[in-house]
Amino acid sequence: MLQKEELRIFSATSFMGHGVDRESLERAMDCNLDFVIAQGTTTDAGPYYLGAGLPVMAEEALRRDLELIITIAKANSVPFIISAGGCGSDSTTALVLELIEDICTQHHLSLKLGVVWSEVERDYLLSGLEEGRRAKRIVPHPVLEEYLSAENVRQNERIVAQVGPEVIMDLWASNPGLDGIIAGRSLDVGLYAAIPLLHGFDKGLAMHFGKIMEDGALAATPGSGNDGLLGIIRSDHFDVRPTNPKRRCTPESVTGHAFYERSDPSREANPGGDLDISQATYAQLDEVTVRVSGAKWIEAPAYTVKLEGVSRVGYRSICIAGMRDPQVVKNVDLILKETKEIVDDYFAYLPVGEYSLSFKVYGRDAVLGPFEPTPYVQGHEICVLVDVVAKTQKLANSVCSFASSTISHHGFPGRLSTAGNIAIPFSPGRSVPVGEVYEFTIWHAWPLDDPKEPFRTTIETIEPKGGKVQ
Amino acid sequence: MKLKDLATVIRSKNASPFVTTLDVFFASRENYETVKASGVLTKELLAKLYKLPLDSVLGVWFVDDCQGIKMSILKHVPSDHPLAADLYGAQQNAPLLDVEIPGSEVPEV
Repeated sequence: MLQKEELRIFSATSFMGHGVDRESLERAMDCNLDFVIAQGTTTDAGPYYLGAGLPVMAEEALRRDLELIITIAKANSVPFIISAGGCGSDSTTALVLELIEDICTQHHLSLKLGVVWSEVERDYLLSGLEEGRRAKRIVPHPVLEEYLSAENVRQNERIVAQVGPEVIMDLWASNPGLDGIIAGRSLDVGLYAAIPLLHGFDKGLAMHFGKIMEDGALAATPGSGNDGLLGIIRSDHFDVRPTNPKRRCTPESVTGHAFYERSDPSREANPGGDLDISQATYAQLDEVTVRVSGAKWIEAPAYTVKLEGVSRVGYRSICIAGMRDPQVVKNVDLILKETKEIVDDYFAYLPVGEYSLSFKVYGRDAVLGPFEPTPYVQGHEICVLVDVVAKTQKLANSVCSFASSTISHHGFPGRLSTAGNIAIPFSPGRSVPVGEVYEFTIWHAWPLDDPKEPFRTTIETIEPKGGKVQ
Repeated sequence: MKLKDLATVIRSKNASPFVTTLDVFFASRENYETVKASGVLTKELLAKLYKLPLDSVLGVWFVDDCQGIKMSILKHVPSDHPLAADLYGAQQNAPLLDVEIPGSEVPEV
């Protein structure tokens, strides 16, 4: 086992594609770094990307961040660990490797990379279920099956598992000479905890280190999503500070960041156990540095990885319908109610469930829906979003187009605007095709004995296109 | 006074597509302690404001270290549901803004 007493790790950004600050990264390289790490996978942007197998961030933004980290790290002989591509489909991991090949061509670099592929085979899950494995939902929301079923697995468009630290540890330890590791969908905390764990650091400390480091300078003040954070972990504590002189870490900035996008601020479920930070302490060490200690790791009875999977619901078409005439605004409920009846009557020949039609009334209660405290119109204009989801794009377009023309020409008592009730802002407008609609139907904890089991790892040698580096 | 008059941050965000998490931060220790001591921010209040059954409120936590309050609730429908309207959950804070905090009245001059 590796046994360094101190590890110096730089977290380059809050997310791959949000931006990397070149000067901060270069300054970090002067700090005797052991690793540079960045995370770039998420479910924040919704299920579409996993369903379609597409990256969440723009390719240009992703390429720019990869280029800065890889070229600067390589020039300084510092290894890197990067998760990237957003959803973690194998197609996005392949895209990341293509972007790296392009970067290698431009900069005449040759790289040896360990790659973790996070897409999970349906057959692997199905045979696991047949053997009697039980995967419980991670959030107790009634839309999720309490335990994952074979039928759900079969219906899923694409399923990924979150790569835990053990996969990274093993890949790094058993492949000397790697320039870095590229991973698909990963547990963010695990990317940062892996190397400290490999060196035998306490698990609670290493996982807490990951939790603070994972979003780069978001844990500093002023916070930033496109700047980095330096972390130094030792046997019983770790220190964090930005390398950008415009920022500093304070106990408030560090603890405040631990709130972000998490449901419980003191305890967090992770693969194989819970991180308990209720007894953690945060001390200002100097002007810019905070020293953290005291987190505890509570081992779970079984090791699980998180599965994420999406099913296709259908296809969407929308119409954005502005209303300005006071009589139209006043009668919006009546117009929409009668439109719904007319549309459902018109398409009554279709089997039930072929389409859904809904209206969101902006200017009244579109955002908060049933718990809007002021569910009435106060302004002089509103916007109705006509939203249709149907089994085919063609049907979605038909229903949306019929619904928006019905709203436009519907009569009601006191109507003055007899040439049209709505303002459509552009063309196409009556029915704008939006494409596939997915929803997360798998959000479950998959039990396994070997944390590496669901993942495929490969070693890739990336050379400039058209020949090796001389 | 209302919560929005005492806090410097009142924000909402997804903690997964199924959970909305609400954070409140204060510039002064005094305001934080006033809100904490008022006992107003409870699971029951959250259930009422967001029209949820009580067991859909996952918790209310007061974190003294950073003068922060965190509250987490299950969503009526997940953020990716065809009927949902806030993909990132970033605009779910409004019902909290006008919550009255007793014991925080501005002294009359």
